[in-house]
Amino acid sequence: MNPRTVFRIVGTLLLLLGASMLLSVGIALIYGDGDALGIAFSALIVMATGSLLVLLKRGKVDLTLRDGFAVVSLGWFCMSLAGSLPFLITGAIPTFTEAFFESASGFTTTGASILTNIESLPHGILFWRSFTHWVGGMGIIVFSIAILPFLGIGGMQMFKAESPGPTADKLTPRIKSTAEILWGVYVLFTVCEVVLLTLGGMPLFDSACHAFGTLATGGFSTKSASIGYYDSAYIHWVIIVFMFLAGVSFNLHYHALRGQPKQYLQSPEFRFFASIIIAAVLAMTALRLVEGDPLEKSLRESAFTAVSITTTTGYATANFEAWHPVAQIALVLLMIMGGMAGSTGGGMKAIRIQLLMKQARVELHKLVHPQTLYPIRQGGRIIQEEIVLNVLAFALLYAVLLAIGTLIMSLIDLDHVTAFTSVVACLSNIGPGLGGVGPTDNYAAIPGVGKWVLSMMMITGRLEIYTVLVLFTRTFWSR
Amino acid sequence: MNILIIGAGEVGGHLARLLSQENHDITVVDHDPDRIQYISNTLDVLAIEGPGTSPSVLKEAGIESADMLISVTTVDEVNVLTCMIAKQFGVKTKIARVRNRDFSTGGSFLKPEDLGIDLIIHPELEATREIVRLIRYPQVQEIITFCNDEIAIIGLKVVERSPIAGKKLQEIAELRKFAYRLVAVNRENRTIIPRGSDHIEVGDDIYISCYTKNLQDAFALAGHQDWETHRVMLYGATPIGRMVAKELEQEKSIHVKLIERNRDRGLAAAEGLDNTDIVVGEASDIDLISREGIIDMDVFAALTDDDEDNIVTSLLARHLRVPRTITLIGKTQYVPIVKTIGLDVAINPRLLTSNAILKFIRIGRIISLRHMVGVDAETYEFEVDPGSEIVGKKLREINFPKGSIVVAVEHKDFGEIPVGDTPIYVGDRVVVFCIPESVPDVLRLFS
Repeated sequence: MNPRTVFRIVGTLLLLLGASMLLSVGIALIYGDGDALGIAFSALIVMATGSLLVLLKRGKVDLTLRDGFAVVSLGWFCMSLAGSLPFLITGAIPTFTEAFFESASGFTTTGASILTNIESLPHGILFWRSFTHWVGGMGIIVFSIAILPFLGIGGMQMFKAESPGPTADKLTPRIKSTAEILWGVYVLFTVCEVVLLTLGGMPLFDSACHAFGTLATGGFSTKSASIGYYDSAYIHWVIIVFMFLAGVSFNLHYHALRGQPKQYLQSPEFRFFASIIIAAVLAMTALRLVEGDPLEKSLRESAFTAVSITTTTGYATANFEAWHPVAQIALVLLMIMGGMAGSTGGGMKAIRIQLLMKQARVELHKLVHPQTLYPIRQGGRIIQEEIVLNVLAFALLYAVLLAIGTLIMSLIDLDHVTAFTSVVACLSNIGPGLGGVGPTDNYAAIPGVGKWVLSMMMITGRLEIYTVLVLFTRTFWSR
Repeated sequence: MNILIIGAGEVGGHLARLLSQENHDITVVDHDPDRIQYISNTLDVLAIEGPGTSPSVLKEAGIESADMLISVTTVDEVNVLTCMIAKQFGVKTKIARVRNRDFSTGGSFLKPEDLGIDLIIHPELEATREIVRLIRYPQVQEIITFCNDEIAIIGLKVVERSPIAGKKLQEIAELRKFAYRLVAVNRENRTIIPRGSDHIEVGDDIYISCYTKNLQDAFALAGHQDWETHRVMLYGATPIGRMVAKELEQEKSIHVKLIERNRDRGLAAAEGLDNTDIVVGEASDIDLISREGIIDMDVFAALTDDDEDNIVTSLLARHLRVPRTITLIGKTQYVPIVKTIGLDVAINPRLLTSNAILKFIRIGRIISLRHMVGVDAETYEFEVDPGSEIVGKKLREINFPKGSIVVAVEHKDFGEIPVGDTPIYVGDRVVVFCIPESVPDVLRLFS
């Protein structure tokens, strides 16, 4: 690993991030809630630190495979640190542990909050909080690849380390133009949602914040009651649609925008993802109808909850803890799956679940026909064995992290439902869990150690485990 | 420019690297998943797995919007077929590597045009040309020419007799008897573009640009006497060996001995060669080559299919004080070790192939780009645009990036070895030699 190169790129990321804080300063000035100075000061600190790191190394940047992992992991950690400054300096969140938790939760698009009275926060801080979602959703690394000229081939290493899914597919020969396209689609969708929400009567400020939270599959709201605050079926449906879009691969969106909407249906992962969501919605609606709720409300709340949880957004319009236990367990299972590869969603990703199921079936067939070859196919192509093994190991690591996390959380005296679902919700970047961290509660009551464990789970989950864990292996550090 | 490269072997990989560094959109297609994996991990290009002759794979690779297709797989027929498919898709420029000479020689039924190929590269032929050139000018390590062969860049090893050995560049400038520029110095595998205070040592490889009529003066500068090649020993009746022998037979003053291990191959070679002595045996057999007069040879060229054999026999010839050895190296990875172990020149057909292709590709302002084997630098030929900031300026007024040097300027009707006062006009072609780090700056200057 070449520390100077790594620091230089991390420094560049911090410079970008610091500059983006100025947007929140602008918002703070417009509303005049008195938080402008604090945010501006944070921006200054972040940019100064960034410049210092950039000056460490000049000339050509030559990024190796290892540097890529180091840059992405370290970059995300430093971003979460930098993002906590506005909360701390303005005094919106007084303790470092909580500010870091909130910031990590923002960038990783988890949306788990420790704030109890959100409406009392100044606008600049609220905007920053939602903005961290938006930056983290498509990824600041992807953003920097799109706008910084010097990353070239090193960019591909970082792109792979940051983007979700077992394989990272380029849309174009140059990684730079692929990154430009992805961010372009992302911005376009965000603008569309802001417009649609404003048309539905939501104030512009809230529309922007919620659009950031939706497209990034984040979950921070400007209201304590989340989307439930708005008593408008139109707003709920708009957000359902955009949450769903954010959970779908942006590569598919790009092809659709280029006039090939058929590609959605041609993608086996999309068909799998969409059918699971539809099945979940229908089942939950049926359960609600049996309990005697009206049809439209049941359908809308079930759709909102299923889509919000599966895409790992975490917005809420209903308290699903009051629902039938089977619906709650189903939601936890959906949390583990998460969105599609190449989306902004978290979780294990639909494609991994799909490949695991196919591999399991192959093993069963092999018991009967030991000599027969059963290649795993996806969309007519044979998936290389290496990728299947990679996915198997991923599933194992996910389970191990879940186990370790749950053990630690119960060690600090949380009940087992809270301990388990808080770790699932953070590792999969969702936000609300069950029990003490359900949709009507929040993470303020978790002890300090627990907040740090969960913060690390969020970052590890967002970077899809491998990118972070590889830093803890001996091979990574030996020459 | 959108460029599609079929075949991710050494030539394809090398081309993809050079072309992607110049901001072209490169897509590489190969049927070997490992190569595809390697390429997509190391280069900023799109790598697609699949057979290059499959229209659906080519479509996925974006053939419909490609400006150029370069087919360099190991199979001639695949390369030809791919170019024919590309023609159907309306790709403007199609380049194929074809080993079989039946496609490219005069009497062929099918002409390249019929197949829709704009350029056929024949690696063995390229290697043969290079070897023959090196045998004719044995003092030269490497040579490339510009401006209708009026101007050359040559690589020479500085020997003890050299008048410039041990001197600084400023002192050397005072000795200047003919027009030349000292372009680069390669010392211990490091390339520098020398400045006034740098000095030249015995054992350096220097790269000089000069008029081809002054080649003998340039040789003298590096301390090489004016000598001609009369006796050549070739090892290996491979296609390259036979073609080299055939070419050398055209010169009355050169006598060629060809050593071949296999009797049948030797006999087959004898059919096309009238004035060449063919000896059956191993060149690693000292008794044999002594008997055949290795001591009196001016040049020994090892041209078998076996890299290791070529290297060992060249070392042997070197040990027996043959003034000049030429070694054919198939594996590109071996090329750098040639200098380390003390051999003169390596000929690598793959590098020559990519050079020939690069020479043909006209990229924006760049007319050609060439890579020299012994020196870590590229040679670019630019056409000067009316809008360029350098038009009308004299060379000394232009701030050339560090690590680059102007080698030659080709005006409308004549080429010139430039001096500080040489002016640059619109439409001139400027040949620039630069180390890899300064390539982007140089490209910017001409864009």
